[in-house]
Amino acid sequence: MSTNASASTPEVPPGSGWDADKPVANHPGLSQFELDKIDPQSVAKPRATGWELVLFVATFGLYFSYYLYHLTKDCRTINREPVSPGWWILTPYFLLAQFFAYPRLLRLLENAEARCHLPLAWGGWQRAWLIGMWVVTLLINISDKVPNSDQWFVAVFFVGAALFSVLHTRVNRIRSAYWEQLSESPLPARRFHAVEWVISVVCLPVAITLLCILLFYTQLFGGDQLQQLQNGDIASQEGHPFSIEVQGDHWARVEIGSYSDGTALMELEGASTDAYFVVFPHGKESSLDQISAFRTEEAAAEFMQTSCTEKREFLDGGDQNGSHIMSSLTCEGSLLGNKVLVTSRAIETDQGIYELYGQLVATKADFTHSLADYQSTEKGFRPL
Amino acid sequence: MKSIATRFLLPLAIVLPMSTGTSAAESPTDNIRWTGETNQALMDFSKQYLLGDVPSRYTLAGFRADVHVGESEVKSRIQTVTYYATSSEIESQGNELIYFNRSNERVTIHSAGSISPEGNIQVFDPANIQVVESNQYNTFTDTKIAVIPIPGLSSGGLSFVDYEVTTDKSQLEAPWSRVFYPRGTYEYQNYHIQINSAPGVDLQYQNASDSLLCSAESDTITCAAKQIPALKRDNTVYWRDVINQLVVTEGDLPWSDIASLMQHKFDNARVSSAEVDKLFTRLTENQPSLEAKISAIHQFVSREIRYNSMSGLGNAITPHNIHETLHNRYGDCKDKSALLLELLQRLGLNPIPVLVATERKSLENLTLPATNYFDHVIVCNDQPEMKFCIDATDTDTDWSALPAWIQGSAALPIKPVTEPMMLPLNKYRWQMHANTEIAFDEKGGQVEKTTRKYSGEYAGSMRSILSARTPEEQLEWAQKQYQEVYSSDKEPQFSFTHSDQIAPELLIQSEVQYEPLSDPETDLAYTEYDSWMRDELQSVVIDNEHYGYQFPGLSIESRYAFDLGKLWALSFPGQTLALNHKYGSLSRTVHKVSARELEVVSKLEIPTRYVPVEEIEPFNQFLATLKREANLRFEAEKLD
Repeated sequence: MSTNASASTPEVPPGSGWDADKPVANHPGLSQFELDKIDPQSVAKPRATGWELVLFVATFGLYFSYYLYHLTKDCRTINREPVSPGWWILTPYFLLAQFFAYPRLLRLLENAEARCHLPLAWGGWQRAWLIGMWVVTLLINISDKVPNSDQWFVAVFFVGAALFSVLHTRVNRIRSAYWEQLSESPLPARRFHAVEWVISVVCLPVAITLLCILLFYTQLFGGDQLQQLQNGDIASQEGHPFSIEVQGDHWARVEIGSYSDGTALMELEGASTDAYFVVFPHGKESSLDQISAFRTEEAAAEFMQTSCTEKREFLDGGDQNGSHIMSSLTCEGSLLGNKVLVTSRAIETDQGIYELYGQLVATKADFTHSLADYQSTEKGFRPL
Repeated sequence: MKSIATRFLLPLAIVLPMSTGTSAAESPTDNIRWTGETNQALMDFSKQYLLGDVPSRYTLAGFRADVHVGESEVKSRIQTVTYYATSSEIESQGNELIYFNRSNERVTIHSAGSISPEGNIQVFDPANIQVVESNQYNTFTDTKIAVIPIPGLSSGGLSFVDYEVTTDKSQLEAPWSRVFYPRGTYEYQNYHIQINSAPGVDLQYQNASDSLLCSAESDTITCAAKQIPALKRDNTVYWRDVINQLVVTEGDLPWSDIASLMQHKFDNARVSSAEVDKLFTRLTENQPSLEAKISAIHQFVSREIRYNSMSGLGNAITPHNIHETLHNRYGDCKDKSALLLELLQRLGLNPIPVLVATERKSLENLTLPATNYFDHVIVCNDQPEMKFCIDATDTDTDWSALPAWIQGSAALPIKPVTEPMMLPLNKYRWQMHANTEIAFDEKGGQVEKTTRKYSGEYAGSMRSILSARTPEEQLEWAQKQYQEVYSSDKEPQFSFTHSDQIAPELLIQSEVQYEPLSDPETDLAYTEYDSWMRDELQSVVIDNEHYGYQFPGLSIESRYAFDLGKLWALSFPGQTLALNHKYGSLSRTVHKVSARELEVVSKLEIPTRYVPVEEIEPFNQFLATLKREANLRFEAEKLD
């Protein structure tokens, strides 16, 4: 809260013993021009960690950029040392920058603590926090390259939130000391201002919902499991001449309607619902061309940058007398940065055409991890 | 099935006499005598037959052949009684046919006529006899047919014929032999053959029929059957391969002796002379390669020597002297082959004549060695390093390809050590390459340019269709064919390459413009039949129900190049195909040349194979599946 600020002469509270012009030891001080621009009252008042965490979570961590900006600005005010807060906005996003920035941040905090006559915090844990922040940034950056990336992301996010809390506790301590030196009257608790309220009210439910979705996607959106399938299990449907031999231990038969409009004969779900398969009966009236045309159009409408190929061959390589054909349509694309694979394998039988439609939508790492089992299971769709 | 591949035969006669020659000046009826002597036993049999349980359809109620093989002549007394159940059978079968060779055979008709269900007899008037040729183009059979229109036929009645054929053995060019076909497409009843020989005449026989029981006692061979069930009718059958036959020959000649006999006849016809030398020089001196020389010789013999049936007296199986052929500038297959042999030999090749049984596609029924299985002759080069066969009567097929109609026929190479063999079947008899370029204009209309290239014997078959037409008729024919294949009323412009001159390939080019069929303001979902491939697939569907079929082999390569112009950009190039089956394959690749250009190449290969009757349905299903997949499809996005 800044009151009675003067553009030319910073206001110094009377009797505070605060030497505003004294630079931090070992650092060159600010020029008079720069000192003139600093408002000692611009330092944020301390705020409970819970409020900060709300903003951190509500903004999916983006708040940390603003937080660093404000913190370094406060450090500049407290320490009377040259700092460029604007650059700190970008710090959370670049690991390489963090190797230099976070040690600098800790020195700023140490200087601030010195200015506020506080003992240095953390001691030996300081290094642990530093490493923790680097690791969190690293893991966030590679979260789409490891399996179960959604859960991975959430876990790392909360670790980051914890490290943020630790940091804020230390920052609160400094700000409290600063304001105690600056003002003899008790400090009023700092609450949210209007924008922060809006962000919290609007974004926090969204963020919590998204985090829950990421953590509990299968439980929230997966179908009701009917049967867990093991590697090599064969799923079939009585009265229909097809079977699916699944590859991998993470497939399960789920209730009809989980992924289809209810007209499917069988639905299979992958472990994290990255992937699913649905068997549709098309009867004798439909043609492979019709199915292919519909699926290519559908893929283009649902996903971005789709590219489709289709191959047809005789079932069993034509070794038998039959002339039934199998069509394999594959569409690759993307969705919100995820890789997308849409497949449609249609087989002709004496009872008409049966189609195994499937989707694999996942981050690059999950996609790569799941692809082999997905493709093998797709190839396991055969006529009886 | 393709028309050229559907040459099939019904047994034209119960017996097929040996072919011999005659004088062209004679009237054909000079050899036919009428006695009017009614055979009482035949009448009694006929009346008795009508009193019993009569069949429900056309039936050979009785057949009796009494053959006496004497030292100088062969007498064959034939008596037949035929039952007609319906008027439609009378309409189609009401004429009795007597096969004979007017140069060495005399026919004596004793009686002919009809018996009504009530027993009324109406006798044939001999003045109504007609004699017609049985010859076909290319072949050398010189059999005549005496047609006897039976009077007074009525449903439920009978016809009867009693005649005798006397063969003068001194006029025969090869040892006497006879083939009986003891089965037909209608039921045979009371079938009886008796053959006896004069002392000193050695008769050999071989009976392959299950129905006919034969016995031989001293000089008499007797074969009989009470009932021989009808053969099932079918669309494409070589009946001589299906009917197990009774073959009777005089003497016991091996195939090598038959070949030696024929070799002698061809040797006699080939007389070297300055005229032949001069001709050879003229044909070959300016030709750059051996292949070109062969081609020039083939073109001369096939086109400059016109085909004319010359199987007259003494030349039923004996070729004329090549001087005579050159002088006349005409000849039949034997004459042309003799000339071809002489000219090819001068190239340092080793050409031999090969007898061909054009209506036999199996060796099973070539039991006893004889010449009268064969009705055609071609020339084959008998060198391991260069094997080819030329049909000198084929004016349209390049020398490097065996004409389609004789592929797979039974044949006898005329060389010292020989036996019957099958003429080769090309792996792919019908070979075509179609290249189609479709360019979209700014309104969504299309310009379609197509070039069809027919190869080998297919080029020959197409050429035979085109060469018989005037340029206007060629255009009309091509437009009609296009309209049928494309189900369109468009009239493209056509041009033809090598349609008149014999060459390994024949090209048909067309160009046509289509009005916009697609809305240029929306995305494009394009489908296009691979029309020529579909047409070829449709044309080779097997329509037999009871007999297997030798599938001739089909190889089609089709290339489509699409230019989408300025309206659309490709989004989905369509399906690739890898349809590999035990019967053949259809593959397709799609190549996105650019955002606006697409190339689709399809290759169909169905090698020749014998399709047993039980596999016809799955084979046709295979063809139907390929035809369905001969369908191009791609999608393109509207460009802004």
